[in-house]
Amino acid sequence: MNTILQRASRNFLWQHPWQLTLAILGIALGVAVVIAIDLAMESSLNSFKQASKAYSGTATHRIIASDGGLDEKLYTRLRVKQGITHLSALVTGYVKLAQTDAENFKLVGIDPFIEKSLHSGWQNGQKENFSPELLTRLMTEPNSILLSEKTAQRLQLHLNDKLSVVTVQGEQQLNIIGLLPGNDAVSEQVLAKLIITDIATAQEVLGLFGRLSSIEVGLVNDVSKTLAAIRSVLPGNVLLVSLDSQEQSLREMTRAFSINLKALGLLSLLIGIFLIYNTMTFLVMQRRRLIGSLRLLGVTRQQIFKLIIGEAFLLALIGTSIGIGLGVALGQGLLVLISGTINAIYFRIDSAPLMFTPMQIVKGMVLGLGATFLAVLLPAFEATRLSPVKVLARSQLEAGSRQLLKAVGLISFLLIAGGLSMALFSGKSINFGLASIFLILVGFGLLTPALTLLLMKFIEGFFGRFLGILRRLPVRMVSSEISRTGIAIAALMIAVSATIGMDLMIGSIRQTVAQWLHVSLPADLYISVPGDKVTANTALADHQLKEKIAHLDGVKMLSSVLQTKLFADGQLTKTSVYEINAKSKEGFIFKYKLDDGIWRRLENQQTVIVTEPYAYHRAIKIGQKILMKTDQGALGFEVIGISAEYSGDQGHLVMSRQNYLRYWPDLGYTGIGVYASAGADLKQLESRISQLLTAQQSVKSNVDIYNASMELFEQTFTITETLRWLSAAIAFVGVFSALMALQFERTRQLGILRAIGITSRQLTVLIISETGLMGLVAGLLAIPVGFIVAYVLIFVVYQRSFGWTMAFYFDSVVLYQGLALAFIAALLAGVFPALKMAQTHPAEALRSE
Amino acid sequence: MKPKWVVAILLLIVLGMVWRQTVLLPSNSRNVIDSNFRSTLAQNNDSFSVVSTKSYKGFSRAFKPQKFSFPSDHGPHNRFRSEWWYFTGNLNATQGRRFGYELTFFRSALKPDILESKSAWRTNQMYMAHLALTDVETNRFYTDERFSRAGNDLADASDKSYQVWLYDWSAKTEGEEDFPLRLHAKSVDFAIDLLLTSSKGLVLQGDQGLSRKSPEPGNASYYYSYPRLETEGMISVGGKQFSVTGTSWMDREWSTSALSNEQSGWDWFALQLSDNTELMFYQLRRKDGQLDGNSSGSYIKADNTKLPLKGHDVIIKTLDSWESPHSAITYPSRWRLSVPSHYLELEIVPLIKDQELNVSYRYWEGAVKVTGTKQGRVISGFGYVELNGYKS
Repeated sequence: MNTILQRASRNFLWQHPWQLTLAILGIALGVAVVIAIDLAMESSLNSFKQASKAYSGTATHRIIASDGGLDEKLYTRLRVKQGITHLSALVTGYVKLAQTDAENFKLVGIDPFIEKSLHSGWQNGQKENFSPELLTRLMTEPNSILLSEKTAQRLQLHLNDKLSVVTVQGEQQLNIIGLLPGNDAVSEQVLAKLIITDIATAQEVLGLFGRLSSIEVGLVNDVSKTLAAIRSVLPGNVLLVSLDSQEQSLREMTRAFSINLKALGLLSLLIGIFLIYNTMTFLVMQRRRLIGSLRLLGVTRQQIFKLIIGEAFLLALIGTSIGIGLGVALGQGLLVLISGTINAIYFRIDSAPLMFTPMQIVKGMVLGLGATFLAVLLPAFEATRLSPVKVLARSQLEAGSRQLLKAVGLISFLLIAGGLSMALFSGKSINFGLASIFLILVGFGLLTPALTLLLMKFIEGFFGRFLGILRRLPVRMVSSEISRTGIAIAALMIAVSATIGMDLMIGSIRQTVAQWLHVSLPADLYISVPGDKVTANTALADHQLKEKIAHLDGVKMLSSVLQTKLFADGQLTKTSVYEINAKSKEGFIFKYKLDDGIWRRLENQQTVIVTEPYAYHRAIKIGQKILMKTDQGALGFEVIGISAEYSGDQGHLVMSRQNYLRYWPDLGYTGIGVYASAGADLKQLESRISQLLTAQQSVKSNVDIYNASMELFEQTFTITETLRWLSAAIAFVGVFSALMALQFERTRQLGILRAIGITSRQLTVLIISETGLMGLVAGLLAIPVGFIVAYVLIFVVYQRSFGWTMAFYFDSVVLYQGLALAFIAALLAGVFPALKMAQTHPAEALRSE
Repeated sequence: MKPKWVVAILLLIVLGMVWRQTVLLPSNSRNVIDSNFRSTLAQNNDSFSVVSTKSYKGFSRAFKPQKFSFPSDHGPHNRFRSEWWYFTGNLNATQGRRFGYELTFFRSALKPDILESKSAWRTNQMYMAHLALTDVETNRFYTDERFSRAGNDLADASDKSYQVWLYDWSAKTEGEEDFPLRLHAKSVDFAIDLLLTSSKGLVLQGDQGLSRKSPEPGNASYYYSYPRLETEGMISVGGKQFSVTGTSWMDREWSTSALSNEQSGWDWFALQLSDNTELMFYQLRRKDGQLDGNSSGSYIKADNTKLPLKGHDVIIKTLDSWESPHSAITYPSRWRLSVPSHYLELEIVPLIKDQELNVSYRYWEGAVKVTGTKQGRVISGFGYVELNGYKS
C-alpha cells in the first residue's frame, strides 16, 4: 500500500516541476542566508583567535597596556625576578607594502627561543625548513623575515628576495629567509596577512624601541599562584587578561551587530517558511481529489499525514542541502562585507578565512527541516482533517478558511499587541526588541487575508458599479480564493514592510549622522598624523609639526586630538584627548543642557566627557565616577557631560589634553585641526600644509572629511542593504511561486472563461490585473506596517544596539518605492502564468483537470 | 487550530534555542606538552654546534696564555664562540641524605660580529643553562634546561661583579667580593639555593690558564677552576626541603675551537679528596678509539699549589659500563684511576648510574664517590665526572 502511495506522490510531484523547484529554492535560499550570516560572523570573530595562534601558540592570557605603556623591562622583570615561565614577548605593528597597491601586513616580532608550547603551528611542525638554523638566522640577521608560502607566491617573491615596506621609520627592505607552510586552509589564510620576524627586527622596523605590544602568557600549573605573581609586578597602566575573556569582550562588542544581522537572516527564513507553506498547500490542494479517493479506498488519515510530511521532509532535505552549499558560497561573499564593517567600526581583523564547523551544518539542517516541518503542519492537517466526501468538494475549503479568518484575526491582534508591548517593556534587550518586530510582522501577516477581504469588498462596493463583469473579476478572484491569495499577499507584505522599515531606519540614521558630522567638524582643515602612537619618541616630531603649522600665514588657531586607549573601569577604552579652543567647543552636541563651566572643569579637574553609546551601555549618569588606571594607580574621573557620537557603538571618553598629560605619557597627536583666519585661501593653505607633511600624514578639508565619513557610513550599511535585498528576492520567489500555483490551479476555471468567449488577450489582462491588484494591496498594507517597524528599529532596536538616540526622518520616496516594489514584483510574477494560460487551448485547459 | 499554533510557536522557540546555542569553535592547535625546552634549538643531539657557525672567522681564539683579571674575567668574552660557568657539587643534608647538583651556564656566540642597535633585543649571544639534581636515596636524577638570548637583560654575565644569569637561574655574588656566590635555580619539581664560599682560591688550569685540547694552535681554551668551594643552602625536591652542606667545584672556560676533527669527546674527572687535595683530569678520546695525547689535568695540593698532569701521567681503566634506557648510549660507569707519580690509586663509582642529562644536548654528568689509597694510606672523597661525545 505504501509503495503505491509513494508512487502516487512521486508521480504527482514530477508533474509539477515548477512548484517543486520553487519550494526547494525557497528552503534553500532561507537556509542559505541564515547559514551565510552565521558563518561569516563566526569566521570574522574567530580570525582574532586564529591570528594569535599563528604566533603565540597555546597562550591563555595576555598582558596588555594602554597605548605607550608596555615597557620591555616588564618582561625581564617577570622572567628574571619573578621566575615566571611560558611567556612570549610580542612586538607587532602594521606595515604597508611599498608597491602601488599599498597592501597592509601585520608585522609580528617574536622571540623564537621560548617554551615550545608557546610556539605556533608552523614552528612546531616538523618541516625540514624550520630547523633551528633558520630561527637562528631570524634572530641574528637584521631585517630577516618569514612570509607565508601563499603570500610569497601571490607577490611573486622567492626565498632570499626582498620585500619593501613603509613604516614610520620610512621605507625598509626586508629579506625573506623562510617561507611558512600553512598546515591547513585556516592557518594558511591567517598567515597570509602576517610577516613573522624576530622581536629585535620588529622594534627596529617599527621604531618601537623599548616597548612591547603584548606579553602572551601560557599558564600551565599553579595557575592562581602564577597569576598573583604576575599581577604583583604589573604597573598601574598594565592589565592581565585571559584570551578567552578578551575574545569574549570582542564578541560582546559585536553582539549588537551580530544579533541584527542574524535577525535579517531569520527574516529570510521566515519568508522562506511562507514559501514552503504555500507550495505544500498547493500540492495538497491539487490532490484533494486524489486524497479523497485514497481515503475512500481505505487509506487512513495517518497514512495521508505521513505521506505529506514525508514529501515535505524530502523537499526540505534537498532544499536544505542546497541551502547549506549556497550558504557557504554566500558566506564567502558576506565575510568580506562583515569583516569590513567590523574593521571599520569595531576592531582590526587582519584576515578572516571562512571556517565552518559540523555544528553549524547541523544548525542549518535543523533550521531547514524545522522550518519546513512548521510550514507543512497546516496543509498536512488540512489534508487529513476533512472527511473523504468533503475533501472532494473544493468550495468547502474556502468556506472553512473564511471561518478561520476570525480566529486568525484575534490571534494576530494578540501578536501585534504583544509585539508592541514587548518592544516597550523589555528594558535594554536587543533580542526582545527584534522579537517584537517579528511578532508585529507575523501578526500583520496573519491579519493580511482579513484586511485584503475588507479592501476587496470596499473596492468592489465603491468601484464595482463603474466596472463591468470582466473588470470586477480580478477583485472577486482575489477575495474568493483568499486562502491562497491571502498568503501570497501576506508574504509580499512582510518583505516589503521590512524593506520600508529598514529604509526609513537607514535614512534616519543617515540624516542624524550627517547633522552630527556637520556640527562636529568645526575646523576648516584637518591633518591626520597616523602611526603607532605607542612610544613617546614620536611625540617630538608631532609637536614640531604643530608648531610649524601654527606659524603659517592664514592660520588663526589650532586644536588637536590624540586618539588613544586607556583602561577605564577595567577595560581598554578608546579615549580622545582634545586640545580645545573656543570654536572647537561647538563641535560637541550634549545630550543634556550644560553651562560653560564644563570646559573649565574639563581642563582643571579630574573629569571626562563620555559619548552617548558609552553612557548608554554602562548606564552612566552625569556625576558618576569612572575608575581609570594611571601610573599613579587607579583614579576616579567624574563624568561631567554626555555627548552625541555616531561613529561606533562602543562609545569613548573625551578628556582634555592638559588633564591627560598629568597622568599619562605624551604620545603626540593623531590629528590637528586648523582654523583659518577670515578670508584666508583654504586651497592655498592646504597645499602649504601638505608640504610640511610626511608620506603617511595627510591634510583634508572638513568637506572632504564629511564626505569620507558619509562614505564609510554607507559602507557599514552595505551588509544591511545586501541582506535586505536578499530577503526581498526570496519574497519575490515566494510571490512568484504562489501566484503561479494559483493560476495553474485555476486552469479549468480559466478554461471555462476562455470557452465562454473571453479572448486570450483579455485573459492575460485579467491575470495580470489580479496579481497587480494583489501587489497593490500588499504594498498599501506594507506602508503602515513598515512605519511601525521603522519606529521599533530606530527607537528600540538601534538605541539598544548602539546606544544612539536618533530623530525619525520621514522620507516619502521610501513609501512610493515600497509600493512600487510590491506592485511590480506581483505584476512580474503574473506575466509568466498569464502568457502560459493565454497560449493554452480552452479545450485542453478544461481537460487538464 | 489553536493546538497547532501552540506546536508551531513551541517549535519556533526550539529553533531559537538551537540558534542561540554557542557554536563549537574549530581548533587547529595541538597541545604541546613541554616540561623543558627540548628540541627548541637542537634536534641532532648537538645543541650549539648546530646553530653556531662552523667557521672560526671573526672570532677570537686562544693562542697564548694571557693575564687574567677579576672580576672582569668572570664576565663574558663575547668575542669567543663559546664559554661556560660550571658548578657541580656533592651535598649532605642534615638528615644524612646525599645529593649531587650541577648548574651550568653556557654562552654561545651565534655569529662573531657584535651588532649595534637601538633595540635591546638585538644580539648574537645565546645562553643555555642546565640544572641537574641527583637524589641518591631515591635513586632519582632530575634535569631541566633554559634558553635565552642575551638581550634585554634576560640572560647575561657581568664584567663588573661576578654574576651570570639566564631568566631566574643565576650565580651572583652577594657583596663586593667574588665570593660568597649565590646559586639560585628552580625547576618545576626541584630547586637549589646555595651559598658558595671559596676556601682554597682559584687554580689556572693548563699553561697559566691556557688549556690546549689538540696540537693545532688555537684549539685551546682559557680555563680556570675553583676546586673547593664550601657550600651550604637549601635543596627542594619532591615537595620537601633539605638544608644541605657540602663542597662544590667551579670551572670557567671560554674558547672558539677546542676539539680537532679526529677527537670525538672527553671524560672529565673533578675529584675532591678527604686530605684537602683535588684532582682534575680530562681524557680526550679519538674517533679511532685511541686515547688522545693531549689529555691533561692537575693535582692540587692542600696548600693550593698545582702540579700539572700530562696524558701519560694518568692511567684510567674502565671497570663497568651502563647502557642508558633513554638514549641506548653505553657509558663507562666505574673506573680505576691511578697516578703512579703521586702514588695515587683511586676507584671511582657513580652515586647512581642514571645521571644522563636528557636535555637538548645529551651527555652524562654525575656525582661520584671515590675510595682508594695515596702513598699507601686510605683516602676517600666525592667528585663529578662528565662523559661527553658518546654515541649510541
